[in-house]
Amino acid sequence: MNANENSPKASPRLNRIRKISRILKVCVLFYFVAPLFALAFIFNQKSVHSASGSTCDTISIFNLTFTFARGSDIPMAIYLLWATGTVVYLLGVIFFYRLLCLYEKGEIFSGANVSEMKKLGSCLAGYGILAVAANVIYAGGIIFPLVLLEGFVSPWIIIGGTIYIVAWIMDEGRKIQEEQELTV
Amino acid sequence: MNAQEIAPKTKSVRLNRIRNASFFFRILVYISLAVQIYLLLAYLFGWPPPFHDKLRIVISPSHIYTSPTEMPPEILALWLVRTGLAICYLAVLSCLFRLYERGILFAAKNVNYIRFFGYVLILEWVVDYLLSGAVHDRNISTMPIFAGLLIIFVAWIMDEGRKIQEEQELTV
Repeated sequence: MNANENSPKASPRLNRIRKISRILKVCVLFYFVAPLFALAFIFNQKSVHSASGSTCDTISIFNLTFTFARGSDIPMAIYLLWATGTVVYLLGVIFFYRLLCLYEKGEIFSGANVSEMKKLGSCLAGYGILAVAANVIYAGGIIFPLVLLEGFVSPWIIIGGTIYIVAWIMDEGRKIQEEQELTV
Repeated sequence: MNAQEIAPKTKSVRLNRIRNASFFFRILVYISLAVQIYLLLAYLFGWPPPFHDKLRIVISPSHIYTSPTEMPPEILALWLVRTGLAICYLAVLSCLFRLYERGILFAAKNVNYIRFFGYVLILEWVVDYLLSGAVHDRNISTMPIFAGLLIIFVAWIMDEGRKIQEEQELTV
């Protein structure tokens, strides 16, 4: 058996990675970029009737719902957080798109991949931190131990942190492998 | 300068860095796990919550519960499943950091754990969707499902990359 016949097996794998990355790039453009023109799916304000018969306004940002007596009661800080969250969301989509471009070129474990993954992890964690900040503003101030508790159980912070750390470890592992290959 | 001495030194320095960081994050995960489990038990058995007079579980703005007896059985079951998934996620995360501590960085087990995170995110979204249906407040985002699919995709790419490298190493 010619062992060199084995190495071309890598091409079907790479081709599969390239093909799926290409498809996902198109999906990202259609699903994430197109609805940007209708930002209401991130910032959703509606009026609800409470059990006592009065009307109050609720807004939904960062997958959280906040209730105010009137729309005019919504603090400016919440709007600022919403705007920042939108920017973070957009950046996350851009970094993911760039990661897909790298996979399409056949780069799987390069420094550029790791960099994009770290940025993606930072965006997810940043989104979680903004959600905690929104809760602080809604609560009217920092209740120190509770804020820390919320940080420990926030899914976005945990997931973003996980992705960042895994990317960092991948980078260290990649550098170890490169140094071993350079060793004579 | 002996190049042969430098390379193993750099490798062990990097590995030690990975081990130390993994150990530190594993401790953080254990703390997070302890907090989650304590909050679950505090809610179920009426234990005092930390730094607060009463523990409140907020399913939606109009569905806030302070004890399991107040919760309809369907909502309680779904909330327990969601909390269980979060605890499983943290437990598997600690296992992943344990592998990194042992210096196992690119094995199939690592990939399986990372893929598991993606599945947990998607399952959590499904449970959230069912919960929001149960409280008649369909106001959830699809972001977790995309984050889950992203993680599964990245895990698959890592696995394929690992297999490509293994096949190249076996090639003469």
